[in-house]
Amino acid sequence: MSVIETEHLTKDYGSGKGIFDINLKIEQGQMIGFAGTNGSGKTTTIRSILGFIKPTDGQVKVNGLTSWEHSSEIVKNIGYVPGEIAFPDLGTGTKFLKSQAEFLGLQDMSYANSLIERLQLDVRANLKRMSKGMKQKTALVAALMAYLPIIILDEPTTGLDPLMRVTFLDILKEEHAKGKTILISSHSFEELESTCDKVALINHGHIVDIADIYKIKNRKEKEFKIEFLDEKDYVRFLSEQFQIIRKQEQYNQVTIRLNSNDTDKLLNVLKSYSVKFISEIPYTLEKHFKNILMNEKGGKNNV
Amino acid sequence: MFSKALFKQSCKANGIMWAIITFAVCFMLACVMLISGSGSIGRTVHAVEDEIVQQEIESAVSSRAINYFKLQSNGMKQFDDLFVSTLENQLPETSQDVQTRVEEVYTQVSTELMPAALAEYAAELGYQQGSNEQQELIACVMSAITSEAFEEFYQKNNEPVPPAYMDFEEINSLVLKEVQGSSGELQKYFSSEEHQEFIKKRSQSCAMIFLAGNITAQENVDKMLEELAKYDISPIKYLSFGYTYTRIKQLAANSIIEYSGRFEYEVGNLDKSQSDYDEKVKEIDEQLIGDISGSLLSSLPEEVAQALEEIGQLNLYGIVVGSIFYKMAGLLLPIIYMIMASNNLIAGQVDSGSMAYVLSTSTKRQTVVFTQALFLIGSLFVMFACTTVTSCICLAIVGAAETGITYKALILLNVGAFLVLFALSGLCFLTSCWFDRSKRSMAIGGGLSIFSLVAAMLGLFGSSVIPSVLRLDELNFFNYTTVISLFNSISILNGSLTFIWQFSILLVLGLVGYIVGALRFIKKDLPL
Repeated sequence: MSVIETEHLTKDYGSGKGIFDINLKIEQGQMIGFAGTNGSGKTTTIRSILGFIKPTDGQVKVNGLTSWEHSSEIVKNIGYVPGEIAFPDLGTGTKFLKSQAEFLGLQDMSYANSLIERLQLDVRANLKRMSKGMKQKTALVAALMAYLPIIILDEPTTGLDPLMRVTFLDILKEEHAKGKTILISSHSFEELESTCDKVALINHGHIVDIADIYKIKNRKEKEFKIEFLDEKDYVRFLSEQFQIIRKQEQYNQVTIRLNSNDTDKLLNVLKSYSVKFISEIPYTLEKHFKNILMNEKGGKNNV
Repeated sequence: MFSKALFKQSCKANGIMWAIITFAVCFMLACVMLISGSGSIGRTVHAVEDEIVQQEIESAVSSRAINYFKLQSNGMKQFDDLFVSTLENQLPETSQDVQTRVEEVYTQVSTELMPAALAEYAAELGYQQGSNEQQELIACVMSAITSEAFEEFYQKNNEPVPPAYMDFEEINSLVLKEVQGSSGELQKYFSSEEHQEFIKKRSQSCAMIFLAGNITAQENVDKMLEELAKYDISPIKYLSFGYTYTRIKQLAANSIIEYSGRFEYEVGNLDKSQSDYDEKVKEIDEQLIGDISGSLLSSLPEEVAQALEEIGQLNLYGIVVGSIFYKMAGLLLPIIYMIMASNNLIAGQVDSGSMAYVLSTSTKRQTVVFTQALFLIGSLFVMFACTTVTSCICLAIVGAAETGITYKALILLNVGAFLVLFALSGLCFLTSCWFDRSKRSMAIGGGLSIFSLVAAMLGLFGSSVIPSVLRLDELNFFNYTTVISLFNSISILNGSLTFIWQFSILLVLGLVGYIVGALRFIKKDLPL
C-alpha cells in the first residue's frame, strides 16, 4: 500500500487556478521531489495531503485514510514544514519547540538537540527577530524532532545560504536513509535531482511528468561536444557515422549523441583527428523537464 | 475536546495583554467608585435642588411684587373714583360744612365702601369670604391708602409710615370751588398727570414693603418652610438662601421697576387712536405678568415639582457606576482585549500560518476551536471576576448604605458587563473563524463591537437615566441599535426583574456566535 496516494485529486479555485486530476503514489521510504514554478499548485497539493483543504473532486489517502475526513489522524505520522513560516506568539525558539513537544507528547528532546547543534541554530533567539534561515531551521527541527515516518516540506531551502542548504539537504538524506518517506517541494531542480528518488513536475495545476532520477542519471544515450583544431578535421568528422545533433561551424564544434556502449568506437575514431577538447553535456532534470515542457508547448502550437 | 498545550500557548500569547487590560479596568473602576463615592456626588444633587428651589422662590417673589403693585395702583384709582362719586352725590350745602363732609366721606369710603369693593373683587377671583387670600388682598391695598391705620406694620419693619394719602387742604379747597358752582374740579385733580405719578410712586414703595414684610413675617415663613420640607429644604438651608427683609425688598423693587418700565415702553409703542388700544394694553399686561394669581408657594408649578422629585430620586452614584462605568467606560478596554484576543486565537493564526503547527500535531479542529473559545470566555470571565472583587472592596470602603447600591446589584452589574462581552465575543469569534484574513475578521467583528459601544454611549444621553431636563430624546434611537442596551443597568439598580430575560438574550446571542463560528472553522479550507 502506498503511504501517500492521490486519486484524481482536484481543487478548483475557479478561473483556471487550483490543481486538477493529480495522481501521485508515494511508497514507503521514497523521497519524492515536487517541482514547479510559483503558483503551479505545489502548496495546494500539500495542503490537500495534510487535510487542511477539502478537495473539489478525488481524494487523498495517507496510510489508507482519507486526508480531509481524518486529518487529525494522518498528521500524527507527518512532520510538516510549511512554506510560509510563521510561529505562534511564544517568545523564543526554545519555548516554541517545548510547546510543540507538548503538542506531540514528546518527552525526549535529545534528537532535537542534536539537530539544533548540527544546524548551528541559536534557539534562544526571539522568534520575531529570527532571520528567514533561522526560522527555516527552527521549523525543520520542529518537524523532525518527533521522529515521524512521513516528512513533508514545502520549499524548505528558500532563504538558506548555500552552505546551510547543503547541511539541510544532508539531514534530509539521512532521514531518507533511515527509511522515512519524504515529500519535498522546491523550484530548484538541481536540489531535487541531488536528493530525490523521483521528481514530479507540476505545471498549471497538472502533473506533467514524474521523472525517475536514477533513470535520468544513468541514461544510455549521452551527448558529447567536440571541437577540432582545424576546419578540415571538422568537415571530415561530419562524414563519420555518428548522430550529429548540433553543428557550430565558426568554432569547428559538433555535438553528437551516442549510446554509452559506443564510447569506445568514438574514441577510436577520434584518434586520427586533432581534437581541441571533448566534453560530455550532462543530461539534467532541468533539461529533461524543459524538453517535456517544450514538446508540450510545441504540440499545442501544432494544433 | 480540550488541548492543554494549546490552552497554555494561548495563555502565553495573550496573557500580558490580558493582565494589563484587567489591571487598567480594575484601576479605573476603583478610581470611579472611590472618588465619586466620597460624597461629592450627593452634594451635586443637593446643589441642583437648591438652585431650582431658589429660582422658584425668586420668580414667585417677583410675580407677587408685580401683583401687589398692580393691586395697589388699581386700588388707589378705585378709591379715588369711589371718593369722588360719593362726595359729588352729597356735596355739602355750605362752605362751612366742607371740611367735615370731606372727612366723613373719606372715613366712609376707607372703612366701608373700599373694603366692600375689594371683597367683591376677591370673590370674583374665587377667594372665599374670610380666607387668608382675601384678607391679604384687602390688607395689601388698604396698607397703601390708609397707611396711618397700618402704622404698626410699618414700624415693625422699621419703615417710616407713608404720609397720608389724601391732601385734605387741597381737597377741601377743590370741594369749596365745586360748592361755589364750578363743577369737575375734583375729577380734574384726580386724573391729573401729577396724581397718577403720585399713585405709581406710592404703590411702588408700598408694594415692596408690604411684600417684604409679608414674606418675612414669622407665620408666613413657617408656612413656607412647611411647604419646602417636602423637598428636603431644612430651615437652616432656607436661612442660608438669605431671604432677609432687605433682600426681598430689593428683589421686589427690581421686578416692579422692570415691569413698569417695560409696560410703559410697550404701551408707548401702541397707537392710541386705534380701536383695539385697550385690548392691546391688556394683552401686554397679561404677557408681562403671566399668571400671578394663587398664593405664594402653596404649590410649586408642576414641572418644577416634578423636576425636583426626579432629581431627589436620582441615584447619581448608580448612574456613574452602573450606566457610565459598567455600560460604557468599563467596557471599552475589555472590548479592545476581546477583539484582539479573538482575532489572535483563530484568524490571526490562520492568516500567518502558525495554526499549521497546531493542526499538524494531530490536534483536531474541534479541539482547537473548543480550546480557543474556552480560553476567550474564560479570560473574560476571570477579568470580570477581578472587577467584581475590586468593586465589592470599593463598595465596602465607600459604604453601601450611603451610595444606594447594594452588593447584589453590584455583582449583577458585573455579570451584565460580562454577558455583554460574552455576546460581543461570540460575534468576534464567529468572524475570526469565518475569515482567513485577520484584517477582515478585525474589521467586521471589531467594527461592529466598537459600533455597539459607541451607540450605547450616544444612547445614554437619550435614555431615562438622564434627568428629563438634560435628556436628548433623539439620541434614544441609538439604544435600539446596540446589544449593550440588553444590559439593563436601570432595572438592576431599581430591583425590577426585566434584566433577567435581557441577560438570557445576551447569553443566547453569544452562544450562537460561538457555535456557528466553531462549525464554520471545522468545515472550512485552511490556507496553511
